[in-house]
Amino acid sequence: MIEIRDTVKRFEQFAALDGVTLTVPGGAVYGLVGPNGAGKSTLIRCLTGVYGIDGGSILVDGEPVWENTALKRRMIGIPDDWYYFLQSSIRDMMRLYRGMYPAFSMERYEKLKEAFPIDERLPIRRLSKGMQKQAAFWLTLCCLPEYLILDEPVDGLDPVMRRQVWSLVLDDVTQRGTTVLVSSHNLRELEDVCDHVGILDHGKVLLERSLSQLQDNMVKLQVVFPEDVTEVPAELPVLHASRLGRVHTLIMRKNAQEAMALLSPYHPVLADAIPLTLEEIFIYELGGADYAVKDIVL
Amino acid sequence: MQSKTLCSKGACFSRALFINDLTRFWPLWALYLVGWLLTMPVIQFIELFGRNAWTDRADLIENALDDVLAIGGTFSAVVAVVVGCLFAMTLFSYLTTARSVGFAHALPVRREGLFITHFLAGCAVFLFTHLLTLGLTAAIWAAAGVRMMSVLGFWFLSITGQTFFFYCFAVFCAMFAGQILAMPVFYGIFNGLAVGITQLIHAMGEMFFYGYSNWDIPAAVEWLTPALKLGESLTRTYGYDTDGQRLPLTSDQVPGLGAVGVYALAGAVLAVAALAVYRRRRGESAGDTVAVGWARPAFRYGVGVCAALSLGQGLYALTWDQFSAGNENAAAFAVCLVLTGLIGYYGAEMLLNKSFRVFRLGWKGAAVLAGLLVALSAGCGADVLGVQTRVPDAAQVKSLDFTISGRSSYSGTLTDPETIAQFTQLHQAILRKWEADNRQSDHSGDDSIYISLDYELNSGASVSRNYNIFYSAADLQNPDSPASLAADLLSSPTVQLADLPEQGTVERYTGGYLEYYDVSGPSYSQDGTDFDADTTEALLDAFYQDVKAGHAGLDQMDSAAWEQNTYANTLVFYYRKTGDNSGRIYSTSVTFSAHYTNLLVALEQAGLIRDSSDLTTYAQLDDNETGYDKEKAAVQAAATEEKFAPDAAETVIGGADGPTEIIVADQTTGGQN
Repeated sequence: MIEIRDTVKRFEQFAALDGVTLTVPGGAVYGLVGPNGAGKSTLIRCLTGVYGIDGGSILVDGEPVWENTALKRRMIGIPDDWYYFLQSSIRDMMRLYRGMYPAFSMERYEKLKEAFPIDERLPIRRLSKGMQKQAAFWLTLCCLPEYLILDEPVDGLDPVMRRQVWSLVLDDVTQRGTTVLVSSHNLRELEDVCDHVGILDHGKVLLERSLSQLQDNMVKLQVVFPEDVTEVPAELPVLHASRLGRVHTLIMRKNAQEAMALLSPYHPVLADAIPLTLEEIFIYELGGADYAVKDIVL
Repeated sequence: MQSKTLCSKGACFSRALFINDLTRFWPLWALYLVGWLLTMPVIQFIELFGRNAWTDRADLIENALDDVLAIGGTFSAVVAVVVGCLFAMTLFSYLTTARSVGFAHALPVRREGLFITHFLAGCAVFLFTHLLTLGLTAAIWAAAGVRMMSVLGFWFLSITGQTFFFYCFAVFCAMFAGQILAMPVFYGIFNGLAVGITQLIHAMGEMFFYGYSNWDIPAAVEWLTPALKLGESLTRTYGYDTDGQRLPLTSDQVPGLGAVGVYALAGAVLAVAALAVYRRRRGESAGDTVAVGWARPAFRYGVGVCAALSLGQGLYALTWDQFSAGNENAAAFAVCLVLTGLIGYYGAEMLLNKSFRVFRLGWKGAAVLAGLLVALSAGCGADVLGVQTRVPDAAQVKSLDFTISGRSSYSGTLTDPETIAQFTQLHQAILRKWEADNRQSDHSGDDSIYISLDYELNSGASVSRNYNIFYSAADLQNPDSPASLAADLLSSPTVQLADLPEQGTVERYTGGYLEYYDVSGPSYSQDGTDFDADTTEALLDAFYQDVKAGHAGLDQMDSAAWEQNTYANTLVFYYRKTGDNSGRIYSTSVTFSAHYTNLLVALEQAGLIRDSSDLTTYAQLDDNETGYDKEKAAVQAAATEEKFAPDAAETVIGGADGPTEIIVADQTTGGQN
């Protein structure tokens, strides 16, 4: 389990992480989402021991990460811009990873050659961005990590390779109980793989829940009110409302039953509760935090 | 191949990373190895086993020893400076980009482990290279019959100690650099900073303080300039026999390695300090010019002060000094210092912030710097430390190095309190005259004398001053004038004897040489004769008698009398120094005049001159030169006259029997008579 408590990270005067608290349960796939500049990459760098923190704590299995060699042997990350030595081939990098991570599996390395059709003797710098990303997954998955930290992991991968990569990662989650923390802006993809989600904004966690809790906790309603009700009643706790003809689309921070119960006094002609996508939840939650698409006339 | 943990907890050394360092940068390591193999064993093999049939075997061996000693000396210091920097740049370059920092620090190795692994990789490379070079060269020497293996030991310890120090120093600098090019810049600056700042302060002192002269590099500053100190301390000495031939190398000619040892220890301390800085260095500082937060103000103000002292003085010399013909002005100096200081300060700020928009950000620091520079200028102008008027109390002076250059030059070291007191009186008289002249140097007078005074005080401090005193005949009549006091000192036996080698330093005199001039021709010619040790002793005895009798140092303040009486013939004595086993021969020369009656008699008795007419005074020499010049000028004038004498329109055509025809432009006026 990863426990991040009141973590603060400052760059001179600017607090990139301003008291972040979140928990990644063991064996979970945790999606870390947030707008640009929210502090996701900074949090990941703190979690992997690259940056020291200025306050709070970051614990993995109850132990602090900072300078904890034994712990870092069990966790590995793939940053957004994966680093490799300029002249190195995948094979050269493999030798370094093999020396660094005790659990490194040569058997898996050989098996994954099928999944990643790349010449392991070519200098990595000559590979395309997508192939470099494949190389990163190849080597990382061979380390058999207990904790896998991914920052924009499938950027640059083609749709087939995305599925391939997620399939391999999720296999590790189910078979080996690997805990995955993944930061991405691709919310549709995260929705398919994550079971927990945390939303980060301005260096703070806005909310974190399991995906099902999150979806249970917010609902989209399509409602047609009787003719005498022209506007959405002000008493309803609506986060967002829009109208197309007589059909009102309402977003409420309630579960479906509670929302329907609130509507019933108004005798709607039609009322239908639809679950929200992760992208919609993200947009409406951040809309509440003054981060929304603005209507700007150019 | 799993990473081995060599520390109790957490990897302090990563074998995988170490091997990665060795394999990844192999071209650099190979280049270093090949360089040394070529410089040492290959060249030694060629020298000792090559077809040098015309060279004596002993000479070959001597040459081989000489080469290795030279390579282990200054050459190795230069190599170590460059190699230390290159190795540190290579192994710690990962600290300069965010990606590589992220990669390295996410690995399961503690920061100590990363540092120690990379650091040891560098050490291992140069140690292996040096050991292999040592082994191969030793084998070649053993096969060639070279016995003096201590020279090889000297080379090995010298190059290894120096490389270790400069490598540690460069690693220390690398800990502060967030950019790859900042590291060699810091390294270069720190290598020469102490001596540079010292010389800039001396230059400022010389500009502002009357008489201030000090270009000496204090011992501490020398130690803080490692390349300079090591270069000096590793210079070998040579032994010579009485014929000036070089003696075979002996172990006492091999330079000591004390300085190398001290620097190697300092290197170890710097390595530990570098590790401490590394542990506190923040990962996000990659890409910053200065990667350590607390060093940033030091960088900002340091660049400002250095720019002010160097560029500011340059600007002042180019502008105000030129404009005012050398009349120093503290306000103008302050303007130059502040202007250049702020350029340096804001330049540093721009580098730190990676932005040109720094003027609003750093104005407070700039104001502080400007205030300090104005205070410095004002302090110099007002001489708040009393540098100009400082004359040490004679009782506080341990020794005095002096030079008095009138027509002859005398210099030496004095410890005699009475004579030192005479010099301090002269020093005070010079300052009294300067004060009386409204603190302006008086350049009026017929003649001048140069006086240099380097006091070493009992406290260990030193005071160095030099002055040019201009004087006229009237000044010599005033017993309290600087000129008069200088004249007294010039005729003092103590001063005269101080110009000769110090008592106790001479083991024995080995001979001498007297120079002759032949002024009988249109231009003079020189010749000379050697004499033996006994003659040297006799001549020196006579010389001492003359000094004690007050015959020495006369006429020094009277140019005409000096030229009339002083001989141009140089008398040189050769001697060996006590305790110097190098076999080196030292020499000293004396200038003498017609007043040296005892010496003239001794020269006659030694058969070196028949009488004083065999000697040539400066006046005679000058007459001869003048005569030659006059004759030369006359010949040139005649040639010029001859060239331009005929009418340009006429040309004389003819042979030895006279002209056959005179052609005048456009007409023929005559023919053969």
